[in-house]
Amino acid sequence: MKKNGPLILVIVVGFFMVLEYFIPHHFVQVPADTILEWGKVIAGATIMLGIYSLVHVNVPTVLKRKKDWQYKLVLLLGFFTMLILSLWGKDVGTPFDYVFMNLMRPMGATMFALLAFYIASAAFRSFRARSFEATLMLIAAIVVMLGRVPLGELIFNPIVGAISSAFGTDATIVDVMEWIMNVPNLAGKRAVLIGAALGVISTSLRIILGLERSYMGGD
Amino acid sequence: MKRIFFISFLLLWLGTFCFCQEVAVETVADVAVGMEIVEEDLSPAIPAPPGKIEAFDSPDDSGNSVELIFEKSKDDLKDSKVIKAYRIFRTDEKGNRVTLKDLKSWSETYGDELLKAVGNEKLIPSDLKDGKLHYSDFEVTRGTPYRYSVVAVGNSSLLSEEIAINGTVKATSEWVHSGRVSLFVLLVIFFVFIFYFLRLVKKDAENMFVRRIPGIDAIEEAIGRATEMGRPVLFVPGIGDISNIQTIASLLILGDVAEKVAKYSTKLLVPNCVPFVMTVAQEVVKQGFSKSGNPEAYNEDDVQFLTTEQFAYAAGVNGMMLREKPAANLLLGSFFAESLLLAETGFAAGAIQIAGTAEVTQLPFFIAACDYTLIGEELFAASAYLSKDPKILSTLKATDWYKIVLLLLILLGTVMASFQFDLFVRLFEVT
Repeated sequence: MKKNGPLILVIVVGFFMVLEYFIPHHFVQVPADTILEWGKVIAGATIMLGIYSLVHVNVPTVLKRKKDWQYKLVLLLGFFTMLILSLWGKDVGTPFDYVFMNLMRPMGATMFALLAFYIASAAFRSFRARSFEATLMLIAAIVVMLGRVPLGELIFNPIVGAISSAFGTDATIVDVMEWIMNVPNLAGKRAVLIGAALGVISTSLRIILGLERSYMGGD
Repeated sequence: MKRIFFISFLLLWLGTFCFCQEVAVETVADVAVGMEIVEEDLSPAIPAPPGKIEAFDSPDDSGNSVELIFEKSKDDLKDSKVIKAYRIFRTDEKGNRVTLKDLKSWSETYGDELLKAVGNEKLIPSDLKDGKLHYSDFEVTRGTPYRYSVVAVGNSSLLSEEIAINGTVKATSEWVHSGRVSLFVLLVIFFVFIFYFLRLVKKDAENMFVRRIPGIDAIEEAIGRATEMGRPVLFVPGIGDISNIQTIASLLILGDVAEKVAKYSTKLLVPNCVPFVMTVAQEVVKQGFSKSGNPEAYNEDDVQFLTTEQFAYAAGVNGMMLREKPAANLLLGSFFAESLLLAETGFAAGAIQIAGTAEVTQLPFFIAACDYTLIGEELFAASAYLSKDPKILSTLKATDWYKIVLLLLILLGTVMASFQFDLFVRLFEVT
């Protein structure tokens, strides 16, 4: 029963929630909404487990002065400071809001801003013409990048114009860029999406049918 | 002479006076006429009532709403401000009448829609183009008959004649969602495929061939490398909630990873962004360690919660990568803007990196920065592939065959749409 109980629960609730999408009747919708509400309540309650984990992992490290304890101290100080400040409310103008707006947000923005440098370094490594596919990607990337800036238009439009006029058209670098984005790129994206969607259904069915039980530690 | 001069001056003055008087009278008369026109405009006039009105039960719902459609008043013209609004009333069977809403006039609604559609009239709903207004009443009680009526409210707040529906209308529940029948049929076909391959695998389990997925094969290699180097394995399940199927797929892989890691007595670090995911991950890792026969090696603190803030989480995981120096980073699950922050830091730390996500926008970042990437469906196939259980592998087979069916349907749809045979395409519309 210890293993079959959860499995039966998964199968029953799983099938019920699948049917809920196709049966709009209130006999199905009302319990389905209740189940979703329960899910939200359980998810909300787990924040206590998160806090327990945070304290349980970091407090002993600080107390015993283990390796990198200073970082853990900053983490705990930050956590408890915000917790205490939230007692005065979280509205605009409260100490919580002040700290959030002047510390938390700028730090988050700084992390996000680092992305620009990471993109540059990742692109530098990826765009090496080591194989035919990599060269193709490099060319496509150059066209797309330059097609999005006025400088690219200035440099490439005479060349693209000359080539396209030989074929009796008047394409620009922007047209080429848009074609790359809207045809091969979009086709690839959709292929990934269709595959992923089927993967989602397949994984869900494996769980609902009880074939996949590794999440319960069973065979 | 003086008299003549005086009389002339008097006549001139009288003439000028009379002329001025006449002009003034004419001007006043003109203004009066003008004012009369203006007054006619501003005079409180009763607006024309709305046109035909109909109410019906909302289709495909659980009986919680009624739809109301009515034609605009004849006075409600484009760019005219004669009609201010339409007031909608609902009366129940006991005669209790409530005012539901003052709906914006047709001309104003049209203007708003035009603004939304950036001036493109083609994007405006056809009903609105035809002069019809729409209101959904979500405050009804299922099964109760209601009578709806509408009046046009003029600029001077004068009300038009009230127009009501014929009879009553009540909200009812439907058993079948008519807009999702095609999807249901497709799902049933998928079920048939799954059960067919499950039967097939019972007869011939040996011949269940599934192509190699290098990214998944590399997981064992990465764990082996970490073991040899005496460094931990870092498993990041993404920032998705437990209701996100990518997170679930990630946790299914985590079970296998934990089992292998426990077998080699290697440390496994799992930082979490969502407390719920952490709770499940702890259980999954614990079970994995138990299954491998090394339950005492499990440390609950290795599966820890960091923060729910996206970039704070990224900073925390990056810190772990740089301080703990894991030899293998497994980034599997739902990722957003933090994907490249994590992958590039892992690269800088010199770890072997295997990533996997179904987020199309993040895939290029992982491909650029990681050694192996599980693209879309490969993430979902990973747990089945790792389990090597023929029954679970048969679902991959079913998925592949189903993909062929979908491919044929897409090709057929393309041909049909090219020949303007829209019925086939409409067959697959889902609402």
